Amino acid sequence: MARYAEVLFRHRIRFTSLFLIPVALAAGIAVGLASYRATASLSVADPSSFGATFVPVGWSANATPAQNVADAAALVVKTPAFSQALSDGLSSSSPSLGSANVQQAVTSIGSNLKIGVSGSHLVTLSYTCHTAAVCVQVLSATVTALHQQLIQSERNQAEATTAFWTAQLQDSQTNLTSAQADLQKFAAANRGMTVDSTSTDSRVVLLLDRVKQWQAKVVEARDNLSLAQYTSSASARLMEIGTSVVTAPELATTSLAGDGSSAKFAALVLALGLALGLAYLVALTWVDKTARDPRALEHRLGVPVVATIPKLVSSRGF
Amino acid sequence: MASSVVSEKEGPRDPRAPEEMAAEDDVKQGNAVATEFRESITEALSPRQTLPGFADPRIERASGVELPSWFVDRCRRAYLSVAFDAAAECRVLGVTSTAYGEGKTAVAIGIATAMAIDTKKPTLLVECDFAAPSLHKFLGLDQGRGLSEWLDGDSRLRVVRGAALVPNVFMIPAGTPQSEPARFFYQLVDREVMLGLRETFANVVMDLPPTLNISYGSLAFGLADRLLIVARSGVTLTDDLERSIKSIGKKRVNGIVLNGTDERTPAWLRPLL
Repeated sequence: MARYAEVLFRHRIRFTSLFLIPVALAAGIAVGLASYRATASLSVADPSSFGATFVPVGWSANATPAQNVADAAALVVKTPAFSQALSDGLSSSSPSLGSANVQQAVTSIGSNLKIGVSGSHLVTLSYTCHTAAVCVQVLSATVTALHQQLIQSERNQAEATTAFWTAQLQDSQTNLTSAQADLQKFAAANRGMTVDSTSTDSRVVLLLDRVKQWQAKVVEARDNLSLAQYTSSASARLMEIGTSVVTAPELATTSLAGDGSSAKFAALVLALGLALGLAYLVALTWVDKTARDPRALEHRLGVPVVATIPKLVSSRGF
Repeated sequence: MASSVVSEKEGPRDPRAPEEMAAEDDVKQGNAVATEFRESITEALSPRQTLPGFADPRIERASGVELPSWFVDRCRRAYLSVAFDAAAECRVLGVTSTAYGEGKTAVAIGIATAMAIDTKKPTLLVECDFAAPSLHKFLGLDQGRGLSEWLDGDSRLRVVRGAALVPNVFMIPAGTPQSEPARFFYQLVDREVMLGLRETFANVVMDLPPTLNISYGSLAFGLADRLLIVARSGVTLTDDLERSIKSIGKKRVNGIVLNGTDERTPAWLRPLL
């Protein structure tokens, strides 16, 4: 231990530098690379809270409203429409950001925005960046854009569903018309034959079954179309009215080191730097094979060190 | 401590015996050299009086060696930690290192100074690093002649005496650098110079050559009763120190002097570590 201490103090300037460099580096990392986290939370209402019993489009009946909205939001943030909406929102709400920052925020939103749930009706959003003010601005714009895009998403899904059932209804009606025309043609060609449900003729039965089948299809499509139209409009309205901001975007922490993620990295750098310094000390001590420590000499050589004489500075050179 | 040459004497008689001389004559010749060495030292210790108003022509002025008191005190700790034979009339302490530049000469000067101050007895510092002598630099003297030249019979013995605070310290520089230093150690042993030293001085500190990469270690390190190895903190490799101790023999090494320490760990922290 004495040897290490001696080497340490002998090269104290070098080791002070070796100590200060990692400390300064760590401090620089902790402050310079500090990341800030802005958080916000959204409340999602259940359709039943409005007295409705429908399941919104795209929702899973087995998941909570918060989970459904979080899943939908996770998909929405990856869409170009959301990126465009966010870009437009940031440009208009925070013109001081500059196009470069806006572009960077839009690009990094997929990786820096975390969407989670808290309880059954609360969706939490957090956005991490290196500037505190930018974090809040971006998250605010994100919440707005996300809300709009979720509504738009519901509308788009509603339109698709309505379009689907409309097409199905048209097909069913066309086929019903065709089946009815076939039945009328058969009746005209076979006058005197009973063409109704009491008929036992196999051709009549077949034609009648076809007409009934398409009549049922038309009814089913009409019902589904009606339900889809209702559900779609209700879903969009639910998203519009039932989703509200509970906690406005704000910084999770205001310390100099941000949310602490950079402090961990800084601590790692500091530990690594100190370890390297320690390794250097050990190496220097190990490399030094000269006689320095009287106790070590006595231990190794078995001869007593009878005197130690400090360095003598003389003009005669001894 | 200002040092100055206070005594020089005619060089020793040619110690080399004629080839035809018998072995007994060699022994006699060796004893004669030791005797002459003692006479040279005796004269250095008791210089002749100079007439008032006349400078002593034999005195070679040299600028002083300034060792801080704390440095001498640390060197004192070193020699006091070495256990000498209580019955011995002369203590001969050798100071060596693993390589050059580790401060052994400075430590040797410090130890000799501390011994002289403490014992108040004649203390001699002999530089035996014939390959790369450096004592003259510390004493501010010209390299000139020294022990090696005297052993070769080429000149008189050069003894430098400490003045002022420690006048009882005497120093013999090694002389000019020699390419074959081993032979001088052989002469030191063979001609019983050490015997003369032991009879004359209470303390003798020998500044020996570095241990590594010399082949005459057994000759050099055998001259001293006790040995200290100087290592320079942050410079001397522990492996080299281990090799040095191994080459000398662990039992022969009485301690390590860790020189040039520069502890940066705060004093309050050291006890906790």
